[in-house]
Amino acid sequence: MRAIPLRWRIISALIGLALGTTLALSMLARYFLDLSLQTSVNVEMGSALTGALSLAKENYDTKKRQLQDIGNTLSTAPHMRAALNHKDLEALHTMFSNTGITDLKLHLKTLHDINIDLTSGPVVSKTQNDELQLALMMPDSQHALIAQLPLDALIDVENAVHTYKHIEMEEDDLRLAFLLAFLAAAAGVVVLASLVGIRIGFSITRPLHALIKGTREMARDNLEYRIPKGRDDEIGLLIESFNQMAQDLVENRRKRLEAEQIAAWREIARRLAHEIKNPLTPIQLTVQQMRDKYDGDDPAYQQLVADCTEIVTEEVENLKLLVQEFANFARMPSLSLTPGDLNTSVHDVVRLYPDVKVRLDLQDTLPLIELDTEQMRRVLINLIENGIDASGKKGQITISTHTSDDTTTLSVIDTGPGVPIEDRARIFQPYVSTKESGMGLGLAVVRSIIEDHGGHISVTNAPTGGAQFDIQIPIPEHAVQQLEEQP
Amino acid sequence: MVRINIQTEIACLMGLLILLLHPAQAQQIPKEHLEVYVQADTLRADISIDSLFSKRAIDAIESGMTTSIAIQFRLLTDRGDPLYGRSIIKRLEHDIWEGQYRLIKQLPRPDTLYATRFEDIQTACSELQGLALAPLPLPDIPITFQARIDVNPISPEQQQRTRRWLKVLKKGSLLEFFFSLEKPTPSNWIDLLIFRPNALPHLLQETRP
Repeated sequence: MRAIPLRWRIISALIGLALGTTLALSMLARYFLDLSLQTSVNVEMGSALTGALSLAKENYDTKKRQLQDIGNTLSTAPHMRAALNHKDLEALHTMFSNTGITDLKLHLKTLHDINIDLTSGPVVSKTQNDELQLALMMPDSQHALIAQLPLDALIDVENAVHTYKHIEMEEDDLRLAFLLAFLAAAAGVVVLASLVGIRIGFSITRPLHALIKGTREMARDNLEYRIPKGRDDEIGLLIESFNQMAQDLVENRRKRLEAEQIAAWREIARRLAHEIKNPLTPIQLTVQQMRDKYDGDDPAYQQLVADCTEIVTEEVENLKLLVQEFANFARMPSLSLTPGDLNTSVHDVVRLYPDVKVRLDLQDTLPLIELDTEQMRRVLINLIENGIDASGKKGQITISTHTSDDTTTLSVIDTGPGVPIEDRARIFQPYVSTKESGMGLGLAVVRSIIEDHGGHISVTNAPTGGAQFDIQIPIPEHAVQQLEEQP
Repeated sequence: MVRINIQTEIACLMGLLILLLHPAQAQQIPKEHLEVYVQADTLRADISIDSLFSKRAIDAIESGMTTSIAIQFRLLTDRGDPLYGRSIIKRLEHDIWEGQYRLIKQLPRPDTLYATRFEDIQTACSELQGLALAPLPLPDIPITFQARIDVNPISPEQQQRTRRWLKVLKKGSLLEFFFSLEKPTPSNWIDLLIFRPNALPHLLQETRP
């Protein structure tokens, strides 16, 4: 059975986590909601409010009775009749207060304004403004004394009971609505978690897929394939490492191929040297013998033999030099590395060319690097000779050294025509030369020596137009540390 | 293939959930007596509704909550087209301080019944005699007589008070999406009787008080 892809496992894990949390919270919310509603809507609260309403009703009846009694008293008691006669509302107010009823509002109205029959005595009634009202006919039979008692406190009790009953009626729907509202919010959270999960899942697995594709391309020997980095986190570092690994593989492959190529060329050189060198001396001796043994008197022929002998001898000498060059290339000695100063090597070699215009731009102090001094002299001689050939007698060779980070760089710049771009890749290969003379082994030897030092050589054209050879040789780790400790 | 986006799916799921949690209530109008007849040139009905007020409604009324009573009737053809309709809208107020009930009829003519006993109010609301349903003639086809009754003890003022009390129920709140105090939604129409006008009994006008 095929395993579930990582992407969907991440997404489902996040959704599951969100759902589980939401369900747990829903149950908790439901519990607290029930608790909350039970706190405010319960039998005890209902009974208390019903009791409060009964008490309010009793209070209302009592107030109504009291007002009725006061009305009856006002109608009959002489001192009250006197107050009524004088329409002394202040005195009447004091009398009402003495009965224990406060908050009364007293005023006079004409009988015409009130629609109450007062002929048979005082009337107590409840107004539409929720007031208890006592209406009493004044002695002038034209006006009525109106005493109004607000019932706000009682009405508040009634409203509280009504609201309680309303909530009680809606309790189930309200509870459900709270739950649905919570679930809606929770659904939003789950949707959000799902979207975040999808985003996280894709952001993790997309570069993994790219890495998988990269490894497959490498397995198909496509070492030029690179994964776009695009991010700065750990996955970005992984991609960077992958790309670096691919780059290293390319470089190692190049070095291996070059090493194999050089080894093949050396073998050819060794055989050529062996096969050519052996017959050269007999050829030379034979020709010289032919010249020496001639005892005729024909001066013309004698001159011819002498000239031919000289030519053959000269060519044999040239061939010997060539063979020697082949032999040297074939028998490159192994390096003997010791700590050395590159600037010293430069000075030693430059002294060999007193007639050549050489400009030195050397860093004052260079860290000691692992050098085979003899081989490095050979490198410098080769490069200077190369520069002289390219620049001519009036040309100038510039040699500079400097360090950066963990590398020492030596540059040799000539004032020649430079190296065309198309030749730069193969100029270090054996038997490749842009010059009319030479075997094309010099730069091959140079690169071989530099790479044996763990370094790298490249060629570009200097801003002035001439060829610029840059040699980079690594600085040993202990020397790097010393450099870093220097102020 | 029709593609449904995620918002639609969520909305459908929520809707389904709400439907599942809100099962449709079976509507039923308990009636003790129903008689439809023709008197003069009018189709009339005598209806006696049993248990017009639920226990909860009675409890609310007894505590003084103002209650609206809407009784609606309509006649439909056999194809479901409305022929005539009749509404009786009343408001029942209970002054608990004075112990007085006021049944205020707003349609068709304003009228108020004062009573001190709830039973009198119940009778006035439940016993509908000689209720004019439609003028004659009516087509001699099967006619469906339907009714719906809504008794709501929650007045708009009470809704406001409750909303103030429950501060979470502000207008436009998330809770308002799932819950509303503006109730009730009209109940469903209920079939009371299917009849043919020509088959109805005819009553003489003077025989009925």
